[in-house]
Amino acid sequence: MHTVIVNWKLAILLFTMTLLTSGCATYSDHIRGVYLQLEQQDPVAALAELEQASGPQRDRLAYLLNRAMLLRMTADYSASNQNFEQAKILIERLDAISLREQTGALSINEGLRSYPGEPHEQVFLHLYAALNYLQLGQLDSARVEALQVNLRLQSLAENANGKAYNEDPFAHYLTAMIYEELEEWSDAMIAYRDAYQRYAASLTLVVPEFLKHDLLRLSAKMGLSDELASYQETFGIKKYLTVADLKSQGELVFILHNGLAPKKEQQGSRVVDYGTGRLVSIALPYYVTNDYHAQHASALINGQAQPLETMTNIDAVAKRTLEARIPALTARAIARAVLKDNAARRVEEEQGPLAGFFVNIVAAATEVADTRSWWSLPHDIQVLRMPLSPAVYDIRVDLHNDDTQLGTLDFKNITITAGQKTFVEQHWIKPAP
Amino acid sequence: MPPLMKSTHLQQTLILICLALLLSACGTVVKRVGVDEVHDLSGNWNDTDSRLVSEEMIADVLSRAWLNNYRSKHKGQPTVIVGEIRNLSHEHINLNTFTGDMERELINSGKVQFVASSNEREEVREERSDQEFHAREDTRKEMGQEIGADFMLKGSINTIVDHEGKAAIKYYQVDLTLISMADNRKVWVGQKKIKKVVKKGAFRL
Repeated sequence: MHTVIVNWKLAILLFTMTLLTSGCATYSDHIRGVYLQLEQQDPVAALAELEQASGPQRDRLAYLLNRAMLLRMTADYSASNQNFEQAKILIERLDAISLREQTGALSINEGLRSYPGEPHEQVFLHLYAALNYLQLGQLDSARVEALQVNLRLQSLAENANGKAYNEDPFAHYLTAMIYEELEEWSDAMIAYRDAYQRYAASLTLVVPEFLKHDLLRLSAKMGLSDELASYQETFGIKKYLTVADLKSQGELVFILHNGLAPKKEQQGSRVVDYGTGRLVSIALPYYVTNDYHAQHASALINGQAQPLETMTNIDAVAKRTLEARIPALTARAIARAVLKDNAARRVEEEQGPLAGFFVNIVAAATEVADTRSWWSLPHDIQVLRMPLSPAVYDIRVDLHNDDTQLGTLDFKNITITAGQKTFVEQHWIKPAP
Repeated sequence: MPPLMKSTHLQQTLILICLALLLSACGTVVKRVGVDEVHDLSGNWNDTDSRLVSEEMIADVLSRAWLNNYRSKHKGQPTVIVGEIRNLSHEHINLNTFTGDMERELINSGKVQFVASSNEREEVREERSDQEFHAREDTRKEMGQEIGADFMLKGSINTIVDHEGKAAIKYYQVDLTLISMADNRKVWVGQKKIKKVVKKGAFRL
């Protein structure tokens, strides 16, 4: 009789182990194939690969965000926005706590929780949706996204995880351009100012040269003469194009989505739980910088090379956001490890060392870090914004690392229209050697 | 505690964990509801808002002085066209259904004539020019016989959102203006406001 009970329990343990370990490969393992296709500069194949590996329902947000990004790489902006819209609805829904998922996350691993997106991902969703609408020529819809970015930033500022995400200046800069294009001067001025303050305060980014001109142009338009004078003095710029001057010209806004965002990987470590004094194994996520980007880019227009300026460094933003969450993630991982350790000890006491050994294996195998992310975001975003006379242009963009040329991109027949901005975008991923 | 009881507890716990892991949301349920029934899901602008606003605002525009003023000076009914309604809100609003609702209310009132919008006109013109070549002469419609609109209805939807934690107040303001095509006079200005308090649940399945 005793043997029967033991066998039955072993069966349950083995069943649980099989069930759990089957889902224990990290998210990064699932998407390796997609990476390979992107390295081959083939977003269409990458999209097909991603759709094959859509993963469980709890990974849906990561799937939607990455799918939306791959769709825009293939220039299918409407489909991309449909995915972004679904992602927004999902984020709203995931704002509420699921007790079932919490139990799973606290007893097995963080990956059993539905992925709600990192704070910066929730902001970039709106920025990329806005860029999609700009490509579709739907300026009012891009404006809707600009308003939603503001709401998102406000709600992130209220919550503990979001605070770590130091509002990205690019969010403000993009919304400013949208308002200016709609001739909503005061909103544009406020957003340019917000962007400027954040660039000026940033340790890694510098104030883009064209933003200085934007501030001069808008403060003159708004009749803010003191502010205009102070900008002129700070920037050392006397001559600038007024709103009327710019109206007679067109503008090129070239946006380079450079490389891929850092990859979330897992790192195992053994830590002491101060409550029990035991040594426990935990796994935590960390970001690894991807080497798919160019350090510098410049555009050749009318025979003159114009440098692109880094508007946001998503690699740094992502790392900073995750770093702020690490203490909470560590505390939860330790609590989980102690719980599993207790279970293993109890089983060992009751069922003998073999059963205890199995539970230990299950415990170790199920302790995997949550490595889900919007990995198809770029490493950074570089922009060139310049006034040009209305005409048709051929533009060549050079990508390089210090002195090494990495590649060139050619854009033929770009039409610049008077009084309008022409948005040209390109995702670029360094080819595999 | 006897060892057997302890192990029963353990089994139960294990089974419960397995069940919790395996149980996920059940199948999709679809229920047909009347189109007039109000169902607020997310608190966003929906079909009910579109219908209520268009009904009220069109009832208002048709009850104002400009209509009698027009009738006293001209024979017949004024011709109206719906121009651009801009979405200046924080939501992606389907303006086609809103414009459609307003057009329906205007036409069905029987108090005004209504002409096709610029997009629709293009299509009709294409068809008419096609008739020039392909239709029988006695059924062919001539060019240059269109009725020009007397008034254009233009407007915008604006929002103000205030939120704190899980609660939000959404305030929608729809502004419509009726402009005389002959001299740019604004003959009617209407406004409709909707205020919604949205409280999000703290828990989900």
